[in-house]
Amino acid sequence: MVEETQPECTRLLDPDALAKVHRLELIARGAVEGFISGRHKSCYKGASVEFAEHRQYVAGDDIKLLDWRVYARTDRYYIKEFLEETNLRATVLLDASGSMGYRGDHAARYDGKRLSKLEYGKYLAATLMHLMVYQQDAVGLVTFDNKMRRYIPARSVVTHLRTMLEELMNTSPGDETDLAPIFHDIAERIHRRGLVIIISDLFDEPEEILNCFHHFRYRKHELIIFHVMAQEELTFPFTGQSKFEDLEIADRTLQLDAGAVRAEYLDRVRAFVRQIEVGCGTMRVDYVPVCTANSFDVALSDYLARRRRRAK
Amino acid sequence: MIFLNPTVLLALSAVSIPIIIHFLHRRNAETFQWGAMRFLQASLAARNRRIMLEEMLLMALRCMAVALVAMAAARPFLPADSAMSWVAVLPVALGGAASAGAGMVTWDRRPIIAWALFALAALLLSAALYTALAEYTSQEGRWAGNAQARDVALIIDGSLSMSMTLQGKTNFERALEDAEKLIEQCPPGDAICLIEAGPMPLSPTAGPITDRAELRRALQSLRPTGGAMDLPRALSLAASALTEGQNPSKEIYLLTDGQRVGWALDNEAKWKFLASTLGQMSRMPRLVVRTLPLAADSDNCAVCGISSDRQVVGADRPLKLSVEVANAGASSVKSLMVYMSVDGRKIGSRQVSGLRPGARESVDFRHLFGSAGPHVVTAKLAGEDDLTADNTACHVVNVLRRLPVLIVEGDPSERPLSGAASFIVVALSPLAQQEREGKAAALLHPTVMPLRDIGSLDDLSPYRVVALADVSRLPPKAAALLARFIKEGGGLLITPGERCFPEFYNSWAIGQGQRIPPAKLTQRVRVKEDETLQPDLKSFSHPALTLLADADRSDAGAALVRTYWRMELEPDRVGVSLCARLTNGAPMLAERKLGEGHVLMTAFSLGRRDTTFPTLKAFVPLVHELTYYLAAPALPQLNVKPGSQVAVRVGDEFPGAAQISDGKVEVTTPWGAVRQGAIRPVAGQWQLTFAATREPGLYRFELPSAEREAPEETAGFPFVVERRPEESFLDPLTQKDMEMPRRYLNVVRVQSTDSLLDLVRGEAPGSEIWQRLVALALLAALLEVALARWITLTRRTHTAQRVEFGENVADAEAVRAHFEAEEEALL
Repeated sequence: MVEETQPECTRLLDPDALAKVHRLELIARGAVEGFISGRHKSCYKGASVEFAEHRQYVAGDDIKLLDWRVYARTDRYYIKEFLEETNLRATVLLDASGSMGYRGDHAARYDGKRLSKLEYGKYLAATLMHLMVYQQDAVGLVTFDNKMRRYIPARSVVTHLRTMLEELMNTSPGDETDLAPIFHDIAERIHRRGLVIIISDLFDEPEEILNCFHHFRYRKHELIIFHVMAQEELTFPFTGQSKFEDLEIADRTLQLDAGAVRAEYLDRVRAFVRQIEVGCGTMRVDYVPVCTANSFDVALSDYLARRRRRAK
Repeated sequence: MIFLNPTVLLALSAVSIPIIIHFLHRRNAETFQWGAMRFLQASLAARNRRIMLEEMLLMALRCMAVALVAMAAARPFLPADSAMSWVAVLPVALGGAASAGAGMVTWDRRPIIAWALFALAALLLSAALYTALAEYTSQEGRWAGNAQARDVALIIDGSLSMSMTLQGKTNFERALEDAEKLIEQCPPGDAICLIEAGPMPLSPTAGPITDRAELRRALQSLRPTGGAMDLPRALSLAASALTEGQNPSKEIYLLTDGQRVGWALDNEAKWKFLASTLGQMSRMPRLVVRTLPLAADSDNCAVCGISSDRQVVGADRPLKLSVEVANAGASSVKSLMVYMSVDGRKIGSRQVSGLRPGARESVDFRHLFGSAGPHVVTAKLAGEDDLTADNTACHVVNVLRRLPVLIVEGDPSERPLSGAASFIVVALSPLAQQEREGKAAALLHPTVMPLRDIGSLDDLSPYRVVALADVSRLPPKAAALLARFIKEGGGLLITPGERCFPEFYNSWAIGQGQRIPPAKLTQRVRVKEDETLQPDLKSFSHPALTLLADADRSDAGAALVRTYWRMELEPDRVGVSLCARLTNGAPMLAERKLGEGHVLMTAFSLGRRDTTFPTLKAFVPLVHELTYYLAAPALPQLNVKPGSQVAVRVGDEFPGAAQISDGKVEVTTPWGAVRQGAIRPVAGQWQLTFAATREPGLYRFELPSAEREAPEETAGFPFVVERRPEESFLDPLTQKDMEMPRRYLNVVRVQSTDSLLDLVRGEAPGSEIWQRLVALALLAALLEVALARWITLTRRTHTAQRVEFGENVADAEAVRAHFEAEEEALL
């Protein structure tokens, strides 16, 4: 594990939040370096670089970035920094609606705690962002529920990653899902063509969602959908009289005999997933179904491996 | 239906147990935070109605099972003659329990429906409880034993249907067995009167008696009468017998097969009269009706009756005899052979085919009787069926030796066939004397008497019919004599011509203005040369004109009328009828019934002056038919209904009658028994009378015949008591039929011997049905289990598979190993 340098911006954060960000970053980096690293080659590697400035070497900087000419001239270590240009601008769209707050009994554990769909999505987003920043790609972040909560445009500097991670840590489940207007809005906001990664349970009208995907594709964006579902949402293991409290709308409850609607419910979810999957396939959108019961790094690397195979 | 332990009905509140369990189950539902609410809501919306219905059904079954157990514990009891059917209690109570359960299921989904179901449950449960308790109250004391001695009238249905064999035994035998048990169960102090209810009920015990041995002997002497039961008459006899009894308490028991015939359900006045008769006793006797099983799928064909096309029969021409046969059984009959015999000699057979259940068909035979006197015609069906007694029917035809007709000539003429009566005489006696020889003896014997001789006539009894041929008027003595002749059953034919005085006919009356002619003669009309006036065949409505009304075979419509009398009938006069019209609408033939006889009046004379009738073929049949019709009332009735008196006159042909001096003549009944009839001399003949015509069948006055060599079946003077054909059809008595008798009498109907004997002992007849309710409860529980299982299967609760969602990457190590292997392969 590499020792972290303390960035300036994090001083403003309280220790708890900071610890959380650390934790998130550590998890993301751990995932990238320990498992994903070496198995992923970016398809969006930059082509040219332009010199920006020199700065003094600090412990931890990569030795290969030392400017030996300056060292020979001044006997001091300077790092040569470049203003990097890349053809990849990725934007991660994280759904933070109420339904993403669902935390099932079968979700993967981290620190002995079951992950909610949102937390799972956060780890997924953090890992992806880290991975791309690590590859010098520009990454942005959008969090939303029924409105856009935060829009962080894509940048490729490392400090930007910290900002986004902080934003991720501060994101908590919000209100009702209303994906379509948000997606249309974001599709309009991102001017340069790039990669759009959506992490959501997509609990909205499938036709509307597919329209949105179409909008992204129309804007020449490449689209990856991480469809996050909990194990319980896919199996509906409840029986007998059960009371369901809506995570999105307060005080909305539904009491029913769970066994009586199980088959119907599963049929509907199956049809929904199938519709999204087929729609994505038609639009050449990368559809990645992710169940929170599986470890997110494994799920991600599985996807990346498949993607690499496909690229070959 | 009543409950013997009505307080246990409080256990019906246990119906709330499954409801409370359901309620608690709902209340203790586990709570989950849930995100995918949209799918859950949509699923529930799609299945909600069905889920609710399934749950309602399940809950209804559970509640019904509990209710059945509770009601079984309350010892439900079905009285043999329940005023409130169990249908009004059991299903209603179960419906109430089911409604309560179903209401609970809808409580938090459709509150309005829930309230409605709760209200319905309350209503139904209250109605059931009220009904059961009301009957409990009404039945209480009804069956209480009476310590007092009773007078019991025991009526046994002696109808034909009681002799039908069912499962190796007739219902009459069953009734006798029940009667014996009943007599045995009655306390020794009870006086019992036995009555056999046939067409004419009879009591062999002549009042209530306590001697059991004598009662048993009387019982053994009974046998089915072969006719239909006359229940009101039997009950009247029972009422008079009970009145004779000394005991204060009275009861009537009727043992019958529950056939509808004989109950006089269309005659409410009879029941009202019975109620008033029985009501005169200190306490209205209870009528206990024990109904024996009535065969529902019997095979039975019957001869319903025999009829002839005319009542006046001579040996001169054949008679048409119609036999009506019926299929009174439950299945179709492909082929049925009907045999006919006269005086024991077979004269022919006919086949009837394709007789559906309930269908009747008539077959005709023609027979020329060789001799005068009574002849027994017997129709018999070939083969055996479940009720053989109705396979044979008898009919007596009294063939007349001669039928004397007096014709009063009002317009005599020296020239042949010129008088008003000439053609009538020719028509009545068409064959010359010499031509008759060697042929059958002519029946009709016309005697022509000029009008001037009528005054000297003192007695018309030798004649059956008198015809007035264009008679102007009658002397008062003759007019009065003729009027009496008609009232005693004679027939009068008036054919007015140009000589007649309308004043006489219009004023001819007896007593208090009782006119003799059926119409007034108002005007003599001459038809113009260029006009054609004929009889209107379509208007021929009289029975005597049936032959002539057939336009295909009759030329009566071709007759031309030249002159006629315009007749005016008295409107709405009882006994007067218009029988035929002319084509201009004027009356042609009118009839008046007067006393026992009839008067027929034509609008014209039957000579050649008024019409061309005498030239037509139809003329002879017309005169014959009118004469036969007029002669019929004076003939003795030899085919009578049960209870009617038979009266016949015999003359020299039965010389044995003269040897009887005590005024009594033996009469053999259909069963071979001998009863007494009366005999007395009347006007040189012997009048035989017999009134005890109780059983249907063939009877005989036992008189040695002079003319015949007495084979058994032709001896004596026969007559027939007819059977009611409805008796062959086993039309069952329904509960609805019992409503009318129940309005007037305290009728209790029981279906079994045990119930009957319970009643005799003063116990409540009926049966407890708690075992059936327990079985039903078990059935409801089984149904509940089956339904729950079926619901599980249809819901696919256990078979529904999880949604396929990406690849299974749960095992991180496996994936890792897989990737490494892949890397190595690539390298």
